[in-house]
Amino acid sequence: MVTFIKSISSWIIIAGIAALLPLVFDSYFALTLLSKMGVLIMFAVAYNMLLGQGGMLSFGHAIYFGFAGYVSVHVLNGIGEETLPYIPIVLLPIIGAIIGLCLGIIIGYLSTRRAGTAFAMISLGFCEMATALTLIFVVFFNGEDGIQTDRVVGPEPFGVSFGPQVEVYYLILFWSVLTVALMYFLTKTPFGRMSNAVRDNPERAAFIGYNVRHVRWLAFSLSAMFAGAAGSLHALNYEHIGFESVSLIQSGAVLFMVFIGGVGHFLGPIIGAIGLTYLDSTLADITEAWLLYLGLTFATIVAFAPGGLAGLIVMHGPIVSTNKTLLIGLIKPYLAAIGSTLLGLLGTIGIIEMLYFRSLISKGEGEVVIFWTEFNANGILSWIIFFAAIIISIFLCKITYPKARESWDHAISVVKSEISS
Amino acid sequence: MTDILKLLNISKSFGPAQIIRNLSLNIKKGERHAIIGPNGAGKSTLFHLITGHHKLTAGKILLENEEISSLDTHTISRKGLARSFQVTNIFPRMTVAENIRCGMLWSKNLKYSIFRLVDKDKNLNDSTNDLLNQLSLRHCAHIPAGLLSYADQRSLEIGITIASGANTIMLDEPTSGMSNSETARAVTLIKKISEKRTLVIVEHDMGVVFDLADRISVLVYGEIICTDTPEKVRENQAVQEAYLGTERNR
Repeated sequence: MVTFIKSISSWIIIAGIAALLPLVFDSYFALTLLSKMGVLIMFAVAYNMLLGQGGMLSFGHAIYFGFAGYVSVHVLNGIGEETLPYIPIVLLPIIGAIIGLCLGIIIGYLSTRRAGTAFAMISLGFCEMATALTLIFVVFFNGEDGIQTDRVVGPEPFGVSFGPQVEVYYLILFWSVLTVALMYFLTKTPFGRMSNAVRDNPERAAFIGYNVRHVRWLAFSLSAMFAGAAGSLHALNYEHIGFESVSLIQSGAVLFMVFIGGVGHFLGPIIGAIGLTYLDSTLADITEAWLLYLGLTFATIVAFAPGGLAGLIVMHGPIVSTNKTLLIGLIKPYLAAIGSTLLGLLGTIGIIEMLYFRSLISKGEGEVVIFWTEFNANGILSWIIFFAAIIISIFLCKITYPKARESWDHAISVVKSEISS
Repeated sequence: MTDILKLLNISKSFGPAQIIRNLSLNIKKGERHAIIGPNGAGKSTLFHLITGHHKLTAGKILLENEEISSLDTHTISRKGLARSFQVTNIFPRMTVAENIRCGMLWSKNLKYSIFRLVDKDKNLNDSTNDLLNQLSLRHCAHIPAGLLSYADQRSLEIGITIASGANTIMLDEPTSGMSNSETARAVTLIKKISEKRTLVIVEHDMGVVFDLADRISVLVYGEIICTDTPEKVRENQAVQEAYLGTERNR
């Protein structure tokens, strides 16, 4: 019992902190943002079960998320119109999970015959098909408008109506902690271990007695199940569901989150979901070019840090666990590298914003506000400043990056010698 | 002694090229059987055919009198026939211990379970540690398998093969690329693990073959030209011409 409590203690601490957040951030904006993060954490971790743990790149995982959302909205409306028997709203994600699981079993059966590129293409096909379905079958999906619903239906057990956003937040918190914990423990089961084995070497997995396709199929179905539960909460949170939630846009968004966060580590998708949801809600108000920045970030991560943000953190695991004092030596070269990157970022953002500004606004007015400072987009000086920032940054990066790399290599070699001695 | 593995008139063609020609071979239960032959004789293809990795063009393969020639790789593996690979074929990103543990999961009846935690299964982890000791890999149990030295990866390759507790083991050139001392260590290991099992081994190192094998089959251009005890094979005129002779002339 003690070991059990110990093993789930970190989960309890995280859940506790998340439960206290609404006391600090109590604005409506903050609560919707936190609720959205909870839903997308669930979805991203579920997606990583497929991509990171199982090695299957899907472009259509929003199908399970979105369809579960549609069904949940219909259930809520049915309860409201008393055409369906009442079920407690708390249990709505279970319905979503069942929808996700059923769809996952069917589509998984058809698509896990193949792996790699063929699998990815099949998933893309299913995604396009699902999007088309939502626009064609107007009776169920209501076309481009989607469906509205009211989450305040039926009796209010213990006075909880789920009308106020904070109540929905706690519902989402409960389900996301529960499902993320379940998905974490799934990685420790025979299925979870073999899922990794099939990802790394399907040929050998078959020679140790496993039907590779069954392992993939199971991973696919379970991943769809958790995505379905997340989709239910998504619909409940917004009291609306639209065709974009089953589309390539949503599938791509979750892929971005997981990849930027890091596919190789369980925490990666969580970091990605929190980070991108936050930026999506805040940056979108500040700049029109937000999607461009997202694309640039994604491309940079894929090219230079394929392990994602979590990968960069995990790189330092051995140093932290053996000799923390080595980290001090890393601070200076890291700060230099980060500083030179920021300078380049500054220049890039300046150029992008001015380009954007010039393409949108008549050439008469030239004042554009970047970093709380006014720049004249028509004047040559502003352009020179930002281009100079980029060029200087490139030179600095050429010096600081190898230094940062060197100091990390040095720290790791010290760690290695300490382990072997 | 009864035959555990019977190959009955098997053939395999890739397009117009016939690699295995009407080959028959019986492997006795509990023996150490070596298959030798020049490069390109079809030794690896033979392994692929027996383990279901390639399908036969003609003929039949029986494992304990049950036909296995039409079965999938994983089904054959579950019947107690395991193999290693000529080119190291492990799970490089997983730790050494996890490689072994994965090899054991099916035979420990854990299958696709989603309700049990592998770390909590005492029986499974004890067996894993026992096998790691046998392989002398216990000291590096928790480092990623891809970081092991070549010789240690070859040992791990054998370890994954025997982890399932299979009673017929097929090793494809287990000592290839090893130094003399590493080969000696590998031979000791192979002797130990094949004590209560049937062993089929493909090997180029004649020292290893004559040291290990109870019987030897000589495969030349897809046909077995001789199956006998090491002494008889050494004296066989046809074998000397086809294979050993060329070795000696070098």
